[in-house]
Amino acid sequence: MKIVDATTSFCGNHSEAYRKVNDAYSLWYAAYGSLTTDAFLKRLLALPETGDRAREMAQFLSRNPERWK
Amino acid sequence: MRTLIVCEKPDAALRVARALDDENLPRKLESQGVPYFECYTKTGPLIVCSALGHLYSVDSKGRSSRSSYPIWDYHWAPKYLVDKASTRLARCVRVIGSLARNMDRYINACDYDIEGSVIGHTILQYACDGAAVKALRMKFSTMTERELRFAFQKLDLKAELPTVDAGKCRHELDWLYGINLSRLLTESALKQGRGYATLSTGRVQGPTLGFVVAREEEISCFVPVPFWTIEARIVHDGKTFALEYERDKVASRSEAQMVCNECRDVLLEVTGIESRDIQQQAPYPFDLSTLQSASYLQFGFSPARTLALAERLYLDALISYPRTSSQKLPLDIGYAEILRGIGSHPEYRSLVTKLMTRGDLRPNNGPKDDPAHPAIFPTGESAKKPLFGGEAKLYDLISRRFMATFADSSLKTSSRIIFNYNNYRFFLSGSRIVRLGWIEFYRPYMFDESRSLPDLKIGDRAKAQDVKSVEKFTQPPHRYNPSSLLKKMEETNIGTKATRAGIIDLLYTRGYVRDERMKASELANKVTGVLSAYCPLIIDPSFTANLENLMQAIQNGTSSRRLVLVEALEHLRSIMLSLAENEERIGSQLSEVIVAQRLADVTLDTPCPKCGLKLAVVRNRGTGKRFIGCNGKWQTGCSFTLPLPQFGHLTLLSRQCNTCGFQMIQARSKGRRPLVSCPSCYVARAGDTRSSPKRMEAPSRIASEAPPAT
Repeated sequence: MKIVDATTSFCGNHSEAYRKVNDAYSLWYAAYGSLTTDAFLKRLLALPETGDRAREMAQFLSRNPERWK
Repeated sequence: MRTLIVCEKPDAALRVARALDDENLPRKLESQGVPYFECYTKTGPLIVCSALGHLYSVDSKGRSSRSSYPIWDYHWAPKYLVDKASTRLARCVRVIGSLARNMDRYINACDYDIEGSVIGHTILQYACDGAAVKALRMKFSTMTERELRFAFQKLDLKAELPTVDAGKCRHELDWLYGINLSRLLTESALKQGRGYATLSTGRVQGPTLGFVVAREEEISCFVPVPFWTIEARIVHDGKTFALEYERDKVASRSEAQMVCNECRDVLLEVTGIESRDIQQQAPYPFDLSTLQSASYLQFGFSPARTLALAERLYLDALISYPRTSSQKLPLDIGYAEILRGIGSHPEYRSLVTKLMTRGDLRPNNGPKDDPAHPAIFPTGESAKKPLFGGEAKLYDLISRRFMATFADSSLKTSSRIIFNYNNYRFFLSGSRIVRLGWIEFYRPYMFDESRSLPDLKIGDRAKAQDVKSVEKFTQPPHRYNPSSLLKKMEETNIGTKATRAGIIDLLYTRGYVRDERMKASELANKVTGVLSAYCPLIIDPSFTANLENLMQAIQNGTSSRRLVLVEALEHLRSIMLSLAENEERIGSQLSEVIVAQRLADVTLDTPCPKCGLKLAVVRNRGTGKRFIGCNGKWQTGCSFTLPLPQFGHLTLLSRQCNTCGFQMIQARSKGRRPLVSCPSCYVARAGDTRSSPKRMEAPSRIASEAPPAT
């Protein structure tokens, strides 16, 4: 497994994935009324529609919750 | 007066010779194995010879190794000297050269488009001692005898130099961009010493691959968002009807639940019935890209296959010239005569009779036009031999479209019953075809589904049943398929109608994309990434579109080949400089992906059913035969193997077999349809049919000699 330093900034591609995940969270929150980031990321990982890079980001954020801004 | 007529293909030469000979019986002669025809007319003897496509192509001036770049000096050289696979063209060039001696008149009878003009011009110029300047042009859109004879009587005396210049300029630019950029990419990766892989890009290939990669990026970063739909139904006269809620998507769960709770088992009241007539005009006649789209949609034929089939039908004089951008059918093609010809086929007879009794035949011409050729239409001639398979399907599609374009518009009544309960609205939609119109002529390719509505009037009530909310998620955008990518290329004005299908095929050959739904490989992502980082211009569609416009300007006579070449070479020079400065960095990035892709190309997703380790495509060192072997052979002694087709380029597909779940494979051979099969099911079937236990053991005997899979 590739070890990623959680303190570094994201590359261009992953920045885009981070932005998409972040934006989607507010939509999910509004859709379900209330939703923890943890539950959101778990459901995102379980969905087949989630793109590969968005999935990597969800995985990374669930391991490094401090990276949520 | 002795006349030499140069055609593009041997079949075309035979048709031209037959049409122009006074007795329709030209003499077939042969020199060095190359056939040509001699015919007699009132004006004198004619010699009709043929090329085999392009006999001349662009090549570097002087000798240069395959790895050297940049190359700026080029010339037009016989193709057999440039391409080792084209050695048979040497005899063709020699024979045409010897026939051209002592001729009084030269006629270029190649297909009437840019490519045809370039083919004819280069042959007459280089093989016939500069005869291109005095050559006449035969212009025709179908290979029917009538049109060929007419074209021969009305030979064009004007030199078509602007068209030839535009065509030559396109070839030269494609060659210069392609060879320099591809060599730079290939060599930069090769210098890293991690193996060879052919990498290519070009002024059309770059942006086309860019579209696929951009879509892949979109899919890769896609995050689904939830929404809800409300489902309900009513029962009327024993029939069940599904209702639609007034909003397609409900954005929050609480709102969806509230709608369900409030509307569950309530009596819905009919508060309105809406009805409107929808008139649909007859379809436009086919141009090449709409034919390719329709053919992909109806039969799943790739754009390249559709073009090849259409070319064959054209050479058999069954349809008009297919490489056209026009959606217009001019009056002078003789609508009635063509329809009478089509009507000789029993399956079209009644449809043709219906059209002919209308009297006024007027096609529903589309907006696109092509000065060289009309839209694609059947000639009405009967096939000399019965048509089968793809040719028969395509001919049927073209013939029915031709008839449909003369038919009336169709009329459909679309109705909607509006149900209401406490300001919640539900709809029940239906439709009924009032007048079939053109649908009757185009029926197998057009759905005319009607949906009836219950007999309800305003004030009636019906009980809402099974009201429920369904949680759904937004879907990622679709990947391109060959047809939608071709459409995108056309929209952005990159490539030509003749080259687009070939470019798409090249993306598969280079390993940049795989599968029917075009999935970009890691190599494609990296190549596009490198190009966008160091020279974004080459993957910018507007840059390529601008060059296309410049070439169009040459054809229109508003620009010159020299000016366009100078401008395009300036751009290329700056692109090459930028890439060369970063050659090492580019090479190291590309070589890493090449190694990973090479491994991925031979490793299956399905694990070994015996030991669970990875399966890979391996070759027997002794016999050179390929098969699927288990990576665990040297670790666990696993001897699992499966046979593979021994011919064609093998690709591991990303889809699984419906029967056993094993990964499917595809073997592509030139000129044949790709063979898609499941190796596991193949063995199971072979096991059922073969009784000899010895033959069943054969794969495992080969496997025992196999080298370790890496």
